[in-house]
Amino acid sequence: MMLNDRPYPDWHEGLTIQGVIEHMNFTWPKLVTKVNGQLVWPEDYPNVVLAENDDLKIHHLLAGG
Amino acid sequence: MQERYHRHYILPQVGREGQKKIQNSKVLIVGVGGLGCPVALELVAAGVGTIGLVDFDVVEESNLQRQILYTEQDVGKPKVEAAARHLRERNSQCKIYCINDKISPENCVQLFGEYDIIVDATDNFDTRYLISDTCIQLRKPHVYGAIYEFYGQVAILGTDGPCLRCLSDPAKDQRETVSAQKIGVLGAVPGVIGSMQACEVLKYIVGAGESLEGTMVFVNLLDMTFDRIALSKNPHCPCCGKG
Repeated sequence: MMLNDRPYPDWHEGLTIQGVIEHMNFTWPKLVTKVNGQLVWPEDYPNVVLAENDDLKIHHLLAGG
Repeated sequence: MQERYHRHYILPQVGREGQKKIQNSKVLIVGVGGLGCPVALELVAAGVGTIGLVDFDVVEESNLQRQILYTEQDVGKPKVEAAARHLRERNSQCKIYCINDKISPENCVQLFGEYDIIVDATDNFDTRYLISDTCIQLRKPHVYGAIYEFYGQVAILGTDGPCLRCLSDPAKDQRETVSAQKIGVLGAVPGVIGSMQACEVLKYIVGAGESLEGTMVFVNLLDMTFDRIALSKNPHCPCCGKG
């Protein structure tokens, strides 16, 4: 599995987006996430199970100007 | 002044018809800081007919590193007044209106109603949600731009959605974000992102190319990489969805 264009070494069966967020310690609120190019809503992070060949992108939503 | 926009006239996607649209358009820029300065400069140079500037702040010395409209002589002066003076010197045909105030739920509907396009160049989520909600209410395009350190993002939200609450509903996640005063930013980063916002405004006005309507571009200027995500209305969104 890829996370932000780098191999994610801790993939395992049943891994969810929420699991990656917690494991990688994305502590800031407001993330924008896509799996294989498709946007995933925050409400679905605990439910989306990642496959071994999935491409996950996680971005922070910014507010600075 | 016919030569002024010659490079637009000879651009097939703009031409004289497009330039007329640009000159007839009204754009409101909310926030005249790091992002708002390049947005305003680009739109005035391009010949946008009417521009509103909203900001309640004064120019500080620490702004000069990235807020490229201002000079050392502007320190201590209201941003909208300093910005308007510099912009009028660049294009006297452009009408510039100054709103030296905060936008609020009390004033934003009337204010936004006078413009065609709303550019979000603010520095905090509270104001951004207010802009987003009002743009959905009035069906106006919300040209979103934001920066942090070496990173930025641009999107066109609003009209019928998706909106900012589709991406993140503050009612469901109330954790604090880092305030603008506490973050570093490379001086050139708001110039890049602000110019991208201005480019999207001009493309939107003339209908050129593939707009960022419903798409967010993520810019990493440290590694010089770009990513984009197609957005859609979140069915849980309390503003434009059914939530």
